[in-house]
Amino acid sequence: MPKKALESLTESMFYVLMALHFRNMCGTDIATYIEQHTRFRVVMGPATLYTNLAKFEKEKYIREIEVEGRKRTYTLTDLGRSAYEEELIRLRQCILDAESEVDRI
Amino acid sequence: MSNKMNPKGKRRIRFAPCPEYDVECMESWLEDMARQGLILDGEFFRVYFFRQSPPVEVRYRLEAAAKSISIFDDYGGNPSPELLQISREFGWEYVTSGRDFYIFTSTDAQTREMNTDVTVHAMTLDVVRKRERSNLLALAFNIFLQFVIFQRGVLSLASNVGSQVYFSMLFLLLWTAFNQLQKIKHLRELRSRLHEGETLSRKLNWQQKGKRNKLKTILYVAFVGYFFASWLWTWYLEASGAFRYNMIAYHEPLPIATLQDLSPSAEFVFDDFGVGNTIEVKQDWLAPQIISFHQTGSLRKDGDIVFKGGLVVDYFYTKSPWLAKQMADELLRKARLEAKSFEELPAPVLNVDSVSAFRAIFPTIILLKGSQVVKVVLYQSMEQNLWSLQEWAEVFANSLK
Repeated sequence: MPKKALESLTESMFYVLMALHFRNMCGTDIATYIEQHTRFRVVMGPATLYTNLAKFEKEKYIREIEVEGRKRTYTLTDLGRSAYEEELIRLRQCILDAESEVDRI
Repeated sequence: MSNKMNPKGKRRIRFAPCPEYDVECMESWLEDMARQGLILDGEFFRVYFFRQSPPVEVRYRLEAAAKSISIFDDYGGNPSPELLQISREFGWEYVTSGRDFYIFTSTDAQTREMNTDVTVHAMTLDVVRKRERSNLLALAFNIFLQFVIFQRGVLSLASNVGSQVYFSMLFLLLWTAFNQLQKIKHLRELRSRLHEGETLSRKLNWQQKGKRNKLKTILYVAFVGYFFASWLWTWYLEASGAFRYNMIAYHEPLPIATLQDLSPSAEFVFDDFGVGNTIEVKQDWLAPQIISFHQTGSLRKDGDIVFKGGLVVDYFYTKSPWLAKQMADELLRKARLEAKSFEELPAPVLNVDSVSAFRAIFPTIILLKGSQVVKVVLYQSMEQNLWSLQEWAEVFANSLK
C-alpha cells in the first residue's frame, strides 16, 4: 500500500525543499540547483517539478513571493523548513543505522 | 510545437483508439501517427486533429491535470502559465488537452522526460483516479435515486415519459458507471506499476485495442443519439398535445366505462369547469395502450339528476399480466405514499382478478384484469342519492373485457 503523499518525501521532493532551504528560487532555478548539487544524478522533469511545487504550495511548505511574467519565485515556510529538517534527521539516522550494521559485521 | 512543423499541411481527423486515461496506449498511438506523418494539432470531444507532414520521431506525453479540464477554468482549458513555462524551458511544448490530461510534445530525443519521479507521477494519476471515484459516487447516487423512484413507481413514470426514453437513460447511466469503474481500475493499475518502479511503455500495440474501442464508441454514440432523439420526439409530441383530445369530440370506442355508462338510458351533459373533459391516448413499449381521461358532467333521467360530478381514469393495457400486476401494486403504493390522507376502504366484490379500494380525498379503485389495470377516481357533487362504491365500481369492472 503506497504511503500518503507527504508522509515521507520522495528524493525529488527532498531536493526541492533542500534547494529552497538555502535561498528563494523559481522552478527552473530549483531544477538547475538540484542537477548541480547531485552532479546530474537527480534530474528533474518539468512535470515532476511542477507537481512538487504545486503539492508543497497546497501543503503550505512553500509560498510564492514573486511573480514575473510566467516565472514564480518561491520561499520555504516554517512548516516546509521543519519538514525538510525532519527528513534530514531521518536520512541521517538511516545512514547511521546502515554504518553501525557494517561496523557490527 | 508540433503544429508548427508544417502549419500548412492538410488537416486529418482521427478517432483515438483508446480512452484518454489509457496513457500508454494514447502516447504510443500519437507517436506512431507522427511516424506516419500525422502531427497532432488539436482535440475536440475525443476527435483528434492532425496536420500532414513528413514522418518524424516525436514524443508525446499525457500529463494529468489537477482539476477537470474545462474552457471555463482559470486558464481556459490550458495548463497553468507556470507549467507551460517550466515545460518550455525543458523542451516540451503544450499541444492540446482532453478531459483529464494535457498533451505535451517534444521533437528532441535528448530532452529529459516530463516525469522523472515515478512516485510523483503516480501521485498525479491518482488525482485523476480520485476525481473519477467522486464522479462515480455521484453517479451511483443518481442510479440509487432511480431505484427509489422505482419503489415509488417506475412503470407509471416510464409510461409517462416513455419507456424507451426512461430505460435508455437508465442504461446510459449504468454504461457510464461501468466506464468510470474501468477508468478507476486502469488508473489504479498504472499507479501500482509506477510505485513498483516500472516506467510506462510507449511501444504498445494500440491497433488491437483500437478495434474494440472503436466499436464501443460507435455503440455509445449511437445510443446517446437514440436517447436524445427519442427524448426530443416524446417531448415534442407531449408539448404539441399530439396525445391529447377533447373528450366531447372524441368518439373512438374506449376499453373502460365512462360516466355515460353509469346509467346508459340517462342523458349525459358535459360540464366544463375548465379542468376536465380531456383524454390522452398513448402507446408505449410496456403498455401498448395507455388512456387517461378526466370527465366532468351530469346524468339526467326523467328530469332528475341521477349523477353529477367527475371521473378520473388511468387505464393501461400492458404487455403481460405480470406487468399489469406490478402496475396495480405500484399505483396503490404511489397513492399510499403521495396522498395527504389515505384511508383504505373495504374492497367491493367484483368480477376482476384483484381490486383495491381507498379514499385519497375521493373514493378510488384499482382494478386488475388480465393484462389490464385501471385506476378510477369518482367524485360526486350531489347532495343526495349518492352512488355507492359497490354500485359504480361494478360498472367499471364489468366494462373490462
